Amino acid sequence: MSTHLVTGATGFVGGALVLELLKTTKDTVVAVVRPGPNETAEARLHASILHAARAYGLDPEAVPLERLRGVAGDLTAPGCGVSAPVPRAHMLWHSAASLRYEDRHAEEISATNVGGTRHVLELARASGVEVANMISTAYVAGRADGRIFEVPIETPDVNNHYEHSKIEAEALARQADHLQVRILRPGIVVGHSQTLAATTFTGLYGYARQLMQFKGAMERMQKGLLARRPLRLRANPDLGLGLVPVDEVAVQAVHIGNSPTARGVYNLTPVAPPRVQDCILAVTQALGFADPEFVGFDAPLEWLDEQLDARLDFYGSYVRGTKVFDRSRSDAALGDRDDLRRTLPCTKALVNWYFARLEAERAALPVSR
Amino acid sequence: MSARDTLPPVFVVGTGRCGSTLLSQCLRSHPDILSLSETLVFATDLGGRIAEAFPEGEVGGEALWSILGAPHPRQTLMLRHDVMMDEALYRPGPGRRYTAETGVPALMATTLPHLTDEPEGMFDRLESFTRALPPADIATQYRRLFDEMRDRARARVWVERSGGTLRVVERLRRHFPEARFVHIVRDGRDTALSMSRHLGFRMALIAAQLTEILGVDPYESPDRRYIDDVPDDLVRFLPERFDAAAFRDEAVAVPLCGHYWAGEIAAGLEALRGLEPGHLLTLRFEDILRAPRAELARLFEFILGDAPPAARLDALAATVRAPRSAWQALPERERAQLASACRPGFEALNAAGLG
Repeated sequence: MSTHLVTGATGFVGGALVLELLKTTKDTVVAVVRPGPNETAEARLHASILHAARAYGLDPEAVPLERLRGVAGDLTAPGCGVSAPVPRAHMLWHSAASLRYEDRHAEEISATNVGGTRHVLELARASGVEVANMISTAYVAGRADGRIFEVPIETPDVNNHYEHSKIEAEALARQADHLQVRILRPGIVVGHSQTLAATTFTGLYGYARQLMQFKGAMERMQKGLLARRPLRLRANPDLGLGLVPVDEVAVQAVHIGNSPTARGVYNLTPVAPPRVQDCILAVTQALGFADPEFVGFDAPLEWLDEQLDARLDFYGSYVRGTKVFDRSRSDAALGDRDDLRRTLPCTKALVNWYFARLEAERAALPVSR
Repeated sequence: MSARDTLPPVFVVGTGRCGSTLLSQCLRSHPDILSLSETLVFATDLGGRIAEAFPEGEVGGEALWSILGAPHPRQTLMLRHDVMMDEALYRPGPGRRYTAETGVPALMATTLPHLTDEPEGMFDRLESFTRALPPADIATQYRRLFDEMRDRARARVWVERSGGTLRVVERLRRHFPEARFVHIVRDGRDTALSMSRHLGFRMALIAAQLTEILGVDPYESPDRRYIDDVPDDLVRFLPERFDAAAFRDEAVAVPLCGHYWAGEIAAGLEALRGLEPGHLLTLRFEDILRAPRAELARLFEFILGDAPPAARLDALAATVRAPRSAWQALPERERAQLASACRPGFEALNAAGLG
């Protein structure tokens, strides 16, 4: 039996990874976790993993918590700020990341994604780790178009601080010559393929939430405005959107990670991505928007369209251009194992699941009339 | 004043920035009219507490006083940062009962200083009266208080006028079925331009956007779970990091105000639809500027049944001044955006025969 050192275990991908590691191995999992205000790191970790297990339709009683240890730490601190020596581990799973993107968060994004990666690699070295699985994102491709291969980014052309930070983090990992490094690049991670549930809400959910917020704000300005007036959205309607269920990311990442020969970059992206148009319409129709008009990146916009365009800027690389993610290396690593594939739920179901949750949260919003 | 002499109340409603403050100034000069200025706008905390200002079921006098006699968070924030709108007549300062720290009660912001030079004394008398009111529905409680004020002023009618109350016409009609309405309409392009530069509207429109992003009213709730969704240009106006200079200096986008105006007009006309003759008077601000004497005469005739003497009308008409800014001065692109945003409002006015 071996030990896995995990970061980001209380996050979306990290939580699913931990569950998959506990399920498919007999190994011990040690996660570096920030303590909660009133709970230890381990208590917070266990609560988070049990929450994820319930969300994904697993029996929480069956989760072997005795093999899951939490170590208090903070990735932004040297040595990850761990207060006690971390047990010797053979494999690192680094999935902690800041998914923020606004300019005001630039320092924090860099501190977490770049500084954090540096500290995690130091910790890994100190813990005897030999193999590192780094969770990155397929969207390190930035503004690149066409076929996006599973290779290091040599000439970054990014849209935002987040993409830039993830490229830097990948570069740091590649420079760690004492480690066998795998760069795992998921697409836009969405809820569980069976239960639809997610535990954190970025990517598709962030896009959908921004549209809900925009609709709500405009509704307070003018009732029914966006139901009457079609918006112009800068998006390529025929582009494939890289949605991938969280359980597929976890199962494929763990399979590749546990392969003794794996090294290099792997795109954990959908084999048959849904069209951008269908995904956006799933969101806008659920919210009662008039069907939007899809226009090119340079198309003129009216003021109202510009406002939404600015709000959705972060998601531009998801919906514009002509990116197609190549999966040759991932598919070769997975072989003909159909059990490592999941069916992506329809976007409408994912979105409706999320909106039902958001509506409940927003039930107490003050009236506007 | 006998019951026979009194008249049903009047609400002067509009989008805000449409010239209604001018009407309050004129109405205040008439001895038969108790002019309640900006009562609803401050009672609802610039539109953030509409439901709280009209609670369901029976409420006691204490509850009414918590609406009218208490400070509210948006106004207090504006006072603390010295960005309160000009309409607020009570200015905290040395020797005053209320400070920027305590906040100013809703009724004290404008309503009472508009009526008297000793608003604090009037406030105390009204507090005693209001707190002793027996339970009743909220409209009855408002009516009791405003009737009391009317009678003490030896007036025949109370007229409430607040900026932006077109938004609550439906509630007002439901709660005050006997009420009459004066709807003042101004060219949406000028109105929107004026809104964009007005501190009260700035607060209301910023708050509306922040509320929808955060899922809570940020001036009432500390919940910031969606803080990361707040764009950089809005995050500066959260109460915990309020940038007073930016708030004071940066106008709200004019097209946003155009959309707001158009929405208010369309919804307001719908809410006013069906009022019986004698219950609705529509005035156009541009007509008041063009023919102030005749339009003010219509206003008084609608409210009281007859117009003031000619000399008084002349004096009031002489106070009418055209505003300084006009939408025609905007850059071409902004002008086009504004016109586009206002279009549904103009279409609604045309459809109502008010174009």
